Amino acid sequence: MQETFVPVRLLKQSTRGSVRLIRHKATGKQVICRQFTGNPEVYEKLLDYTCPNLPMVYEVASRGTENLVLEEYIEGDNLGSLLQEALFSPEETRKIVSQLCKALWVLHTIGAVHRDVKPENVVLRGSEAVLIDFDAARLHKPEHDNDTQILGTTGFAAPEQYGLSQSDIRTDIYSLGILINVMLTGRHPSRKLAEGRLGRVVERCTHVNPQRRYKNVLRLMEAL
Amino acid sequence: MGNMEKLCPHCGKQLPAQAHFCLFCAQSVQPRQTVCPPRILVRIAPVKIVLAVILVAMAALGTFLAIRPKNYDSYGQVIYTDEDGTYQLVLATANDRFTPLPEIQAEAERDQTYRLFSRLCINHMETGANAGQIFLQKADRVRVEFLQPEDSPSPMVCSAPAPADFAPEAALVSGLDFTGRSSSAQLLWTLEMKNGDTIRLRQDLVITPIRTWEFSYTDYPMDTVEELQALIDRIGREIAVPDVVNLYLPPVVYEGGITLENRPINLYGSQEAGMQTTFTDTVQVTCPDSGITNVNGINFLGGDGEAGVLASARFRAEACRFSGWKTGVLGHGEAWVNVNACEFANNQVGIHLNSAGTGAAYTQFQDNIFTENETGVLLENPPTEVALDFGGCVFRGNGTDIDNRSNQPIKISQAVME
Repeated sequence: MQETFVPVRLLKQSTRGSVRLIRHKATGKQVICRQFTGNPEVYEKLLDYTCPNLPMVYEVASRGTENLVLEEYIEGDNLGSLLQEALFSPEETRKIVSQLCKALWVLHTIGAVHRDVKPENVVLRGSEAVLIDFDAARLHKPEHDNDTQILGTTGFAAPEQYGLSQSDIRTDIYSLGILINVMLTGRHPSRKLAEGRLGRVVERCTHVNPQRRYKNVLRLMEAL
Repeated sequence: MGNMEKLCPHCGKQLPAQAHFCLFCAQSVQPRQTVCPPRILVRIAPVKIVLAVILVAMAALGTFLAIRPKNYDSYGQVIYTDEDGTYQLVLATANDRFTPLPEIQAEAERDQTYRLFSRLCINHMETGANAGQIFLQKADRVRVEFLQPEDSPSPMVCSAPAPADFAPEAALVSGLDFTGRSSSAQLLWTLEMKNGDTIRLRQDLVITPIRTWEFSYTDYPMDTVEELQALIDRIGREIAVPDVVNLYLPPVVYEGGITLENRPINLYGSQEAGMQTTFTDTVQVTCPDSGITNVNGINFLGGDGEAGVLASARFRAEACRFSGWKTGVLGHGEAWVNVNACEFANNQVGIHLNSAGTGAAYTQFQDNIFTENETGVLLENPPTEVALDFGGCVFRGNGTDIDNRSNQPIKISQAVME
């Protein structure tokens, strides 16, 4: 790796690991190098798939609980920083969230839950929204009663993710609801709910009872 | 090729068999499946229209059956499901909002008044969360009533359901007032929901009479403090709780104090020819916490002891006078003490609450008169977080009326501070 790539910059550092932007010496191609401890199963699954709304996972290598992942670098503006400058129109919100639904549909299809859907994990690459960072993701295991730790981001994590019940795909739908509201109002729905039809979509996404939320992201896409 | 078993399709370099990525040209070498969500298209062939109509009709019938008002009726708890989820409505025990209490059993002395509480807790079944406030928004009306014999000698009364600060886990609480002469009765909670459903929860309140023993100074020797203590000790050995013991004391001045250490005994003072039952030394209440020791109509006149009443067990005084003591009434240990309609005069401290306990049976401290004490009330460590109500009390000429060093919530709006 050190012979083939040169570091560009450190993007994120946490107790679980680090995320670096590195450059391929021969071609100049920029790649994300993710080092972390934990379960790499979601990254391994994504090796077999490609979707315009997800970064392509190039390689996964593990030694014990230490993992190294190479993945596509998504160049573009981060939704979190864009939101600091301006809100999004309902039409823009519909388009972006629909694309995120496509990304989540892929994850959910392979049995994975993202668990950290938030503006900082969405990059706008041209006209496509790309959902990044699967550090908090894991494969859904419905036979487990309650195996979720608090890995999401406060305010964007669904209530049941704090240990009340098994996380499932509706956890991601909850976070999408929060995201829609933040894109439209800049605020959490508990403080200011978006108006109109999209506000009702937010309400259904974030219903306290997961059974009352959209059954899957396809239903949410229909509603959008 | 050893372990170099495949070639990069982009640059032709040799790669490990398990490689998904070519380190030479930085290209993916993994065959991938491009996935997109399916489009949902609804197409109904003409031959299926009739079937669809039938299905719609059946669905409409099913919907009607599903949404028509439903009645729920059960003892202790009801599991209720609506479009938002499933809820457990429980008439719960005091300590656990999930455990139904279909029957409350109470032991009651014949002419005593009692108040217990019925607690309605509402839990979200799936998460276990307390859903009381959310659920009550779906209710149009909640009422509570007693179903009891018309000829009950002392009909029970229940208060309108309301939230209670002493029971934060409960959505609503109703106070149940009864006496030892009340017939057992059934409490009925009725929740009329906005969607037309009706939920009924039932709870039996079963009264077991307590035997009461009466000992009067006209029948038993108790003119001196020695005689009185001997009687108290004998009663403690021979009469077990929950039986209630009332001692009616003569209008004499006891030169000394007594100790109630085996069981609670109620002391009733008397007056005659200008004389009143009076203690000049400390009355100690140390009996196990199996009931309340009540004293009524007794004069505690400061003498040799530190305190008029020194209570490390549950104690309540009514219509008594405490004067000339270092402390009129001191509650310590884990004791709850309570005074009503008493007079505290010329004490260093009138009443001093300093208990490590966590429960108070009664938080009204009403109609007391505090006169010329250095400190009328000293709240050092009251055994409850519920506000103490000093309504109707008069504070006159004290150095400090209320020393609330524990920052205890108190109600003094109905008190008179002269």
